[in-house]
Amino acid sequence: MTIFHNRHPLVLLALLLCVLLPVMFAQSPMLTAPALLGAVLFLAALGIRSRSVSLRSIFGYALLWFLVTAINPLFSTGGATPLLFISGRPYTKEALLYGAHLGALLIAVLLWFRCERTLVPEENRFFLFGRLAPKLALLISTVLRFVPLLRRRAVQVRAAQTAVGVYDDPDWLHRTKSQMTTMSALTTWSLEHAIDTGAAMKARGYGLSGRTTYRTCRFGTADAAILSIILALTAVTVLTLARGGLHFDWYPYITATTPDRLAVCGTIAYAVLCLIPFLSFLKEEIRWSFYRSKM
Amino acid sequence: MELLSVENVTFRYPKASTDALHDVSLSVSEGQWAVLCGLSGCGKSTLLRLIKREIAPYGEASGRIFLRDSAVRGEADAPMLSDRESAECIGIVLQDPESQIVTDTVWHELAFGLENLGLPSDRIRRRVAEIAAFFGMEEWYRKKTYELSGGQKQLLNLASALVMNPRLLLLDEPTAQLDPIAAADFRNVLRRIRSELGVTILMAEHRLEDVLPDADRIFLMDGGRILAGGDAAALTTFFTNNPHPMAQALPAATRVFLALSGGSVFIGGTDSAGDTARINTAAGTSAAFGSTVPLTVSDGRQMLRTLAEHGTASASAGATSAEATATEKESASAEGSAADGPGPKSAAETAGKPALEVSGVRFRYDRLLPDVLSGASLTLHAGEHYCLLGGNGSGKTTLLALAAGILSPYAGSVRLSGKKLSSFAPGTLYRGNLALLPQQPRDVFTEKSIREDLTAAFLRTAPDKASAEADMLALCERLRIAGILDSHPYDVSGGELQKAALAKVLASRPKVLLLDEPTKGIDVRGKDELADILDGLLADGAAILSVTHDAEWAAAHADRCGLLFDGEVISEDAPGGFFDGNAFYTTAANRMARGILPGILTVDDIVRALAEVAP
Repeated sequence: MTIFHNRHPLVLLALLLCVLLPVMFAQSPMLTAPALLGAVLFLAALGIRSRSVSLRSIFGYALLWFLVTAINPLFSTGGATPLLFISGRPYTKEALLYGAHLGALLIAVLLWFRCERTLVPEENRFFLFGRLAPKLALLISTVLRFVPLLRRRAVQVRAAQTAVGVYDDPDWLHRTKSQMTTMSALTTWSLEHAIDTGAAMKARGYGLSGRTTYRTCRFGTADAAILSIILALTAVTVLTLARGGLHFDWYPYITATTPDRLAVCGTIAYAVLCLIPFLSFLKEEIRWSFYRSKM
Repeated sequence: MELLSVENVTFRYPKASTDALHDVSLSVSEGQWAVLCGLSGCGKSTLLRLIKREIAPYGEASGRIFLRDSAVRGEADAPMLSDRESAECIGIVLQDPESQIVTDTVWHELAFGLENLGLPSDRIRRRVAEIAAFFGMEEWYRKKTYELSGGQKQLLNLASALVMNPRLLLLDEPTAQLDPIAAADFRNVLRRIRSELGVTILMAEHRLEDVLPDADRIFLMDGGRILAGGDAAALTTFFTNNPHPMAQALPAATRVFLALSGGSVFIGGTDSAGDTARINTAAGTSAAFGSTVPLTVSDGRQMLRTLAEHGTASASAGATSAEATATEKESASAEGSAADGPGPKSAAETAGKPALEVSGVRFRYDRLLPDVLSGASLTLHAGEHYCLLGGNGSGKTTLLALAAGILSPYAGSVRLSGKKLSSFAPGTLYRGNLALLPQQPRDVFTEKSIREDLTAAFLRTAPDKASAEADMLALCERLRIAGILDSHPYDVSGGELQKAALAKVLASRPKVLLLDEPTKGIDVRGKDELADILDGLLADGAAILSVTHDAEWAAAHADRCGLLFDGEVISEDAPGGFFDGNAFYTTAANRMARGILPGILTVDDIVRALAEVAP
């Protein structure tokens, strides 16, 4: 648990967008490195804390990075420094490095989505959506309710049909036909269930005018504070990008503009933004260890 | 002050030839707990649905229904109850816990009705918090609704109705689909709602033994009419003068009282030896307990003690003579059963191989999960009815699935007439050998009418279509369901559907019949009918294994009982020994007579024993 858990979903969405959009737009290692670092530090800290570091997923990400790096030069021959020739096509240093960067960027994006998944409790995921389209949100809620129910019913009906001998009928045509009717029985049940649920909804006043949506999340002052920090840091980064401060060319030669003061500020602002989840984790850890020592 | 009044309501479903409700009038006062009782199909659900306008059935209705001064139905000169008031003031909980849940999370389900009323978020938060605290739901407040147990689901439905702050709570057999423990929890919550919140309750129920002690007013319905209304004493008096099948659904103590005070009770089915035994013992019985009708087990014990001291010449002599008659009776019945059908012991001797033999089965649903069954064994002989009892989640249904070959054990074996289930050739196991009636009878139906389904099932074993149809009709006549053959499986009552499902399962002429909770949601008449059908099958040499929570039914109809506990079958015995040895897991009659009259299993036993004792 960090201070970021249970934050308003809007704050978390803002953080995700403010991290991902600049890094994907800039294509610059100056931003990719802090984005990757921020996500890795946070997830590693969480993993170590809960003693659930998955070696398999680390291996998976490494393999992904290696593949993207190795394969990119096969498709892109843009670079000026050929390392070797494969059936007459140059395999260039620039394309290899671009592949390495692209792989890192891809992994950073995937890891940030994973961070978001650990930070936002499942029931809050559709929350923002619910504000924009309450009816759709209710529909999603009823569907999420219905799917596991249908799955369980399918298992029950299958078991019942097995025991009346439908599934071991020696005649395959007969068997297939019976299995088809099992499907139709499930459809009939679904419709019947829908009617009953509809009645239950009406009984509790669904369809009256002036429906409201219950919000379990409140946008508090802490949310406002963190959101303004996120937006302020992002403003600096965006300004830098707009001025071309972090411009980076991969082809034909790797060239970067010499960073001026603004570019340094932009990079630092972005790095701080990316480290917010990890820093909040550290802060909680320290606070709790002090708190515990006082107990 | 009357909260609900129903005046001369008549209702007829479209295309029906008779009225579902005929000239029904009743009233319920503020804060009362009223019960509508009657056999299934008597019109109690229809009446509840007419009161809750949003889910009223289509059809021709007349008469008037008022909630306080507002008319629930139109055409009255009184002001109409608005849609908003109807949603807010009248809450309803129906039988099936599953189909009333709308959303995917518990908290959203609680908030749903309040969202519909258009309450602002902070008011919703407060009400939801209050109701969650009242129900003690904090632990599962954040859970997904599909993760809940059946009892929790029904409590959630009750909480979601109650969160609207209704003045009238309508309940349509709310505990019919629950196991006894969950049902008792549900009734405890209802008691708190009545006493702490003062909500008026109108409940339809056919299991009177559970609700009679709490009810302020009971209305007995039959064929769409109200036969009687009043408190428990008034109802008992009514039954004294008018025999009615529902008298059998009374609590055990009340049934004994009824029999003693000269009322006619249908004892243990229609063909019981006593047949509506009218025992006019001890002229003073009624006088002895005055006008208080015993409703609970402790009331019943009090009554039996008084009787033992008061009624007989010498209590101790009476008790011993009762004991003597009980043993006599047991030996007599053992002889009797040996003569006309194989009893538990003689079956073991006569039949070479048991019809079904489950030996040392172990099963778990996942490698990482604990064992559900850890070495469970039981044997079932031809002509024997074995009832397997056990708590919730003890693995009864899993054991049936293993016995039916739907699941396979990872150790141990299941043998049918000495042959392993896995060594049956495809297409032979479920023909003429083994059949399972699942807990939800609708699961066996896949066609649009019961007739199509049954014909298809009979065709699988019959040589030609004509003989299949003839066989099918003969069986349906026997089960008394010939009249519903052209209905859709969803359109018939629970009891009828179960009999139809039984017909489909019996189409393959199984030697071993497995039943999962056969009495769940079935009224007293349905239970007796089921017992008759099963007796017929047993006489034809079938073996029946039923899994049930219903101790009363098992005591009356089983040849042998077993308790499944901690993954194993323990304490296997004939019902007499089984229930008499248990202190808690036994019938109400046994608990009532413990230490006063020996060898008692059913109400009939008490009545017979008292008749022997009486001068």
